Amino acid sequence: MKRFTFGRYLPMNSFMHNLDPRAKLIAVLLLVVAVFIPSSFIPYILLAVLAGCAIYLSGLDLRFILRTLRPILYLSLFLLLVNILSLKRGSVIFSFKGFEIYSEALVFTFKITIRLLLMLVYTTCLTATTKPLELTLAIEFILSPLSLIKFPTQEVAMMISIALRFIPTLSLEAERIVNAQKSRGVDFEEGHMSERVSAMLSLVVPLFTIAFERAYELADAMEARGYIPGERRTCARELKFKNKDYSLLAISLSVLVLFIFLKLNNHF
Amino acid sequence: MSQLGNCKSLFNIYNTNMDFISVRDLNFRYEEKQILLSDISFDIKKGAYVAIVGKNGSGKSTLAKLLIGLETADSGTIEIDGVVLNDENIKHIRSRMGIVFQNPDNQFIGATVRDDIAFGLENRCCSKSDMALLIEQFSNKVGLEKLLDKEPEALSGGQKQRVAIAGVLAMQSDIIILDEATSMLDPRGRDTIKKLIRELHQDKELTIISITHDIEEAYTADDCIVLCDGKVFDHGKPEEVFKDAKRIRSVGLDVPFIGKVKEAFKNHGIVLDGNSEDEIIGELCEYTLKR
Amino acid sequence: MRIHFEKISYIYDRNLPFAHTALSDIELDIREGKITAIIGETGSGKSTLVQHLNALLIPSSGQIELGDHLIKANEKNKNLKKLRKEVGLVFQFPEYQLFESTILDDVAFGPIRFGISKEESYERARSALSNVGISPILYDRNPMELSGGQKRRVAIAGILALDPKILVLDEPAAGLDPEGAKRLVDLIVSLNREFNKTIILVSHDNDMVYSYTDDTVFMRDGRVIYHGPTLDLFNDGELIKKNHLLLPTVVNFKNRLREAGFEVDENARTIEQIAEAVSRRISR
Repeated sequence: MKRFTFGRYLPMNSFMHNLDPRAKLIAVLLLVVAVFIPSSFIPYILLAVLAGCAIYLSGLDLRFILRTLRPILYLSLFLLLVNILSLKRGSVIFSFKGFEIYSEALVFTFKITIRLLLMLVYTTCLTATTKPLELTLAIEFILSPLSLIKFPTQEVAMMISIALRFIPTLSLEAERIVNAQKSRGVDFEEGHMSERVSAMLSLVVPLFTIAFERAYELADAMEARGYIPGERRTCARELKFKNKDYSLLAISLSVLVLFIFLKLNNHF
Repeated sequence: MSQLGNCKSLFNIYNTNMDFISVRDLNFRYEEKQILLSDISFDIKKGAYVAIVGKNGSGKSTLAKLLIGLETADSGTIEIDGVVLNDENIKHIRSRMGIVFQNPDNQFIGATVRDDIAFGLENRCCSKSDMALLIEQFSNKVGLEKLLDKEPEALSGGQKQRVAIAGVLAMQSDIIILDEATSMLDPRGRDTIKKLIRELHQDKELTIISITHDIEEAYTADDCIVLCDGKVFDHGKPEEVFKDAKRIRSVGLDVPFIGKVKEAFKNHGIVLDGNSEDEIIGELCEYTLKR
Repeated sequence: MRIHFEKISYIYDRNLPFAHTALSDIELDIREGKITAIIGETGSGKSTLVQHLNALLIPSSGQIELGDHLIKANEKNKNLKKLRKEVGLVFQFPEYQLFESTILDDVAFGPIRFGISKEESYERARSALSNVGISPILYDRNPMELSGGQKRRVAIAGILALDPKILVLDEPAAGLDPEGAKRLVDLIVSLNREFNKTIILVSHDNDMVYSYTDDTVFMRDGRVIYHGPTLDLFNDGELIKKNHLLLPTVVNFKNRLREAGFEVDENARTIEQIAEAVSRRISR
């Protein structure tokens, strides 16, 4: 039985899927910072165009994107309401029997919304086109300078990758435990407080027990195969930057630098 | 295999010491599982296929852990190819030995088959090119060359155990310890692994220590060690060890199928000596001809 | 308690692109009071089928009659919980379901969930534990302190305490040593012979299936290829060859003796019976 994969990785073969995960992660980080710089409207058009390109190059369905963005729209509607009632700056746009809506409320909400939307599009393009393990390698790469201050980046990366590898296994086990307990009369859906608590315990306790046993056995296996935390080890996975990766990095970096420059010169 | 740089085994493999693995007066108390190993002594010759049998709780798996240094004995020695195991040289000794555990999931570390085979090599700081070569060679050896990019969820138990074996082989180990490596597999998986191990034993002259419940498998080994309550109860050729049904049953084990057949015929006054189904059928035919 | 599958199909992930038909058109009538084995390769649909027996899964089409219960596809099925008291399902490696702080508490857990009084639940727990051969000294112990084989028996006691009419076990002997496996199988057989429970065993161990079961359901690709007496299945050379079934060791030996010219009765099931038949021939 196929299990759905962690996050929202969609196994396809788009342009973005074939980019180096480190380049993608760095680009997303740069762009997310860039999103928060401009105050005026026009730079956002550039960012939106970039977002559109990202979606296209990721092979993502527009419907999928809209579904992902929906929660933001609900949030912004709520935000609009709050701002209409609280922000009373700028010019009056609408007036009804003494109740006034100010332009600032709308502009402010709009700004926040657009920023959230852009952020979400960029990160979605990242997670949809990058396998969880690749993402871990990218994170490890970015955190690697921290090892200079004795931060155990390699060990943290190892922990994350093992955790990722076991998510499907544990979820299958959880399902098995739920079935076994249901067969003993446990009701996971109905019942009053004490019953619900005991139902949860009947799932959580075995799951933890299995997880700990597993951890012990895994540790033995790792030790037997020569793993010593803190000691140097090589990496079999080839991660090589190609020209297209450099182009992506160049584009995101130049956008960020451009925005910073323009901001500093009060052009926004 | 030519230049493998620092991947090469750190030992001189061409040691003429016949008693390749020597265990003397091993004592170990394993509190958590209330197991006490006492006065364990035995020798294993280079290239032998040794089965260690005993019922659950007899200390088999504990012995395996001691051999590979995952636990340290309270007293006694373990000598591998003339070198006595201790805390300082365990790392080097592990380069000679590999272990495959019982639970296929709990030893699968990598995200894919390729990553898992690479794990041990990465720990040894193997270069990328060497690793690629070794992974290709040994995934081929165990028949998994087409599954290198598969994740563990997509693999059967038998396939995962093959990955574990490939990982051990890639480390150029010449001693493989199988700790009930087939007991969680279905019959087909079990058969595949048993066949693979036998093949490897023949081609590569590996020394194999198989801790097992499978009496049929133990019967095909070169040598058999029977453990009972943490002590060595018997040690010899399988035909000898399993000859006396009463004796072997007294320690919670049983005779192989052949043994049961011989027993049943004995009850009807027909004595058989054969050690395989073929031999027994042959003897029965002779009996009929005699009449 | 009648078990009748009528035109049962089951499709996983029906509405998704990777929908998978696990069961197609199953018609099955399992004999009451007998031990029935369900065999087949991994992926043949055994586990899916078995999860219908206590309504963990509801069929995508068709209906299942389980005693007084009628489970229909696409219908809101009520009283499923009651069904689970009558059909006890023991999963593979059931020791993993233990979670209470003492063995007695864990075994009593099931009956309590079904609304049985605390007093009676603990009575049943004691009785079930005694049936599986766990001594009262261990009742207050934490399940984690027991050996694998003991934990397994405790888990089974947890289902027995519900006093189901039908007991379904998925690979009950998986991972046990031969002694433990034998003890467990003897227990299962006694539950059938002494308490007249209908037993359904999912197993890969054709040796065990051959020696202990009355009927066998052989599944392949979600369909029932054979359902009938176990003996007949393993004596049917055609079927075995066609489906690449692993022959039980005893049957294989029997066949080889036959090939060598010895007449051995088709119904000879144990080594003892075979030895007797052959010895008699030799002595003539």
